[in-house]
Amino acid sequence: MLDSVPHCSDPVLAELATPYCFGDADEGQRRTFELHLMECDVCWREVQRLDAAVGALRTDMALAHTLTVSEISGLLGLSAGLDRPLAGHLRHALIVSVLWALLLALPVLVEIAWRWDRYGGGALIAAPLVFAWMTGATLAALALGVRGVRRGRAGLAVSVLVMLAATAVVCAALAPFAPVERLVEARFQTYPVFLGYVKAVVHAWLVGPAFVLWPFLFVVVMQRQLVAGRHRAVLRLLKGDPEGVPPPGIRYPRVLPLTLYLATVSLYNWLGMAHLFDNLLAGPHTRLFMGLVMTKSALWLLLPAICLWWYAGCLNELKRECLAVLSFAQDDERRGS
Amino acid sequence: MSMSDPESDRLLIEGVQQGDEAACERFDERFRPRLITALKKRGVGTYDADDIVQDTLAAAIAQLRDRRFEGRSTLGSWVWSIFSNRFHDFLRGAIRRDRRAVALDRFEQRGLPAPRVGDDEDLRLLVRAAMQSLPPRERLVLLLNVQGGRPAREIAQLLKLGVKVTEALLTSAKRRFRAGLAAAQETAAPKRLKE
Repeated sequence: MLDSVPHCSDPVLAELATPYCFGDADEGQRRTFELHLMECDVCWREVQRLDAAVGALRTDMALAHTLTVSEISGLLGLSAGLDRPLAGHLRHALIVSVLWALLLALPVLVEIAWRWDRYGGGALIAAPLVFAWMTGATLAALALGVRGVRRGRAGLAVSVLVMLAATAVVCAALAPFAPVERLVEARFQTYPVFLGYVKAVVHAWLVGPAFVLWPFLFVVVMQRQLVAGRHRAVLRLLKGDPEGVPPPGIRYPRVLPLTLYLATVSLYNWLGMAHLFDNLLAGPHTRLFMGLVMTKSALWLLLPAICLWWYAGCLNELKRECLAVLSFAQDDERRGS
Repeated sequence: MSMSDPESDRLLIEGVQQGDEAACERFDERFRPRLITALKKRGVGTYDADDIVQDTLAAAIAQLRDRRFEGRSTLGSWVWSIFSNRFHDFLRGAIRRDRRAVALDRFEQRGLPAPRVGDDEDLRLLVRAAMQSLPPRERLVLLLNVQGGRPAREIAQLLKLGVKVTEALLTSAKRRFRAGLAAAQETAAPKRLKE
């Protein structure tokens, strides 16, 4: 059967109809194509059709409705990641899980470092186990939180409970093996090994939920809000509008109070470390002990700093997504009217 | 047949040369809209465009009657060369009038005056169908570019994509739109015949 639709005899020139009608052709292409148009009826008809369609495309604001809000936000930003592993924050989740696990594994070494010669071998077995357990547990806590958010809950309580349970398991597992005596020698009374470890765990928890879980799950909750099309409400909340109300089950963790809190606990940590170092007595592994304490302190600062940096970036992304979607909708309304 | 037929061109030329009104009308119908489109694409206003094209066609018909078309090029190319001269005359006149440099390639490239929505419901439906044939990402970049007037670099920032990727998306979106338009028109035609 013969093809009844006429075709241009020069397909290369015929292709120029698209840039010509969309206004993308340069002067040379335009002249070449216009000269061709003088002879080619097929291309001329195509130009007439496409030109009219491009004109309609320019002015028909209702065409914006061929995209749903969820499609737009899905294309524009952070909310697009909600259905991906860990709501699209896999890398951040891995980093903070590793840092958090290190924060709980390192004290195992710190607490016995004073008598490394006697307990070092056992600690080198226990610490990696604690690290692996806590990394997995933290990832699980974050994943369960994300799952909760996807199902319409806040997810924070589940995540905190999982991390709390995982920490309790670590403490319970270490308790029978921890030496009962006080190993660290200082001018003040030091803690026995296990209590020292528990104290380190409490210190870690001062930053854990506040910086690892809360901002993470708040961001995921906001992603879900955006997927649901609540861009205006989210923007109001993030801009600190008094009418901006957070969704149930989670409060809005603001960057400035978090930063002030981090500064306060860092000062406390630094003072505590200085006090300890000033009062330490000479021991066979003092250097090792001090090195590990300083590493732990650095980690203790690094974890919340990374979380804050990530969180501030996510808030900006969320705002940007809201603004983009709302400006799209406003353009639509304005032109429609 | 896609390209103009030399035989029909010859008949058209002979008709014009013999002062056949119908031939002159056919000549006008064939070239006037194409030349008007070319001028509008260069941002020339409607009145100026009409004048330039009127001059061009009048000159072409006069030259045809004076047997000054020697057939060394096609009829379309020959008319185009007359049009180019008239257009350059217009530009030179514009330069003199405005006392400012107006380079040919600096003329803003614009589309034809867009038909008002609602004027042609069929066209609106065809455009909608063509848009629906695009994947959401391409639909969005096309709307941002054509309706929002945002260049590829701005769209790339908005969508967190590379500029090259965005340009490729835009090119693909425009091609698909054209293909979708043709497909929509093909499916719409039989429906209309049935009605």
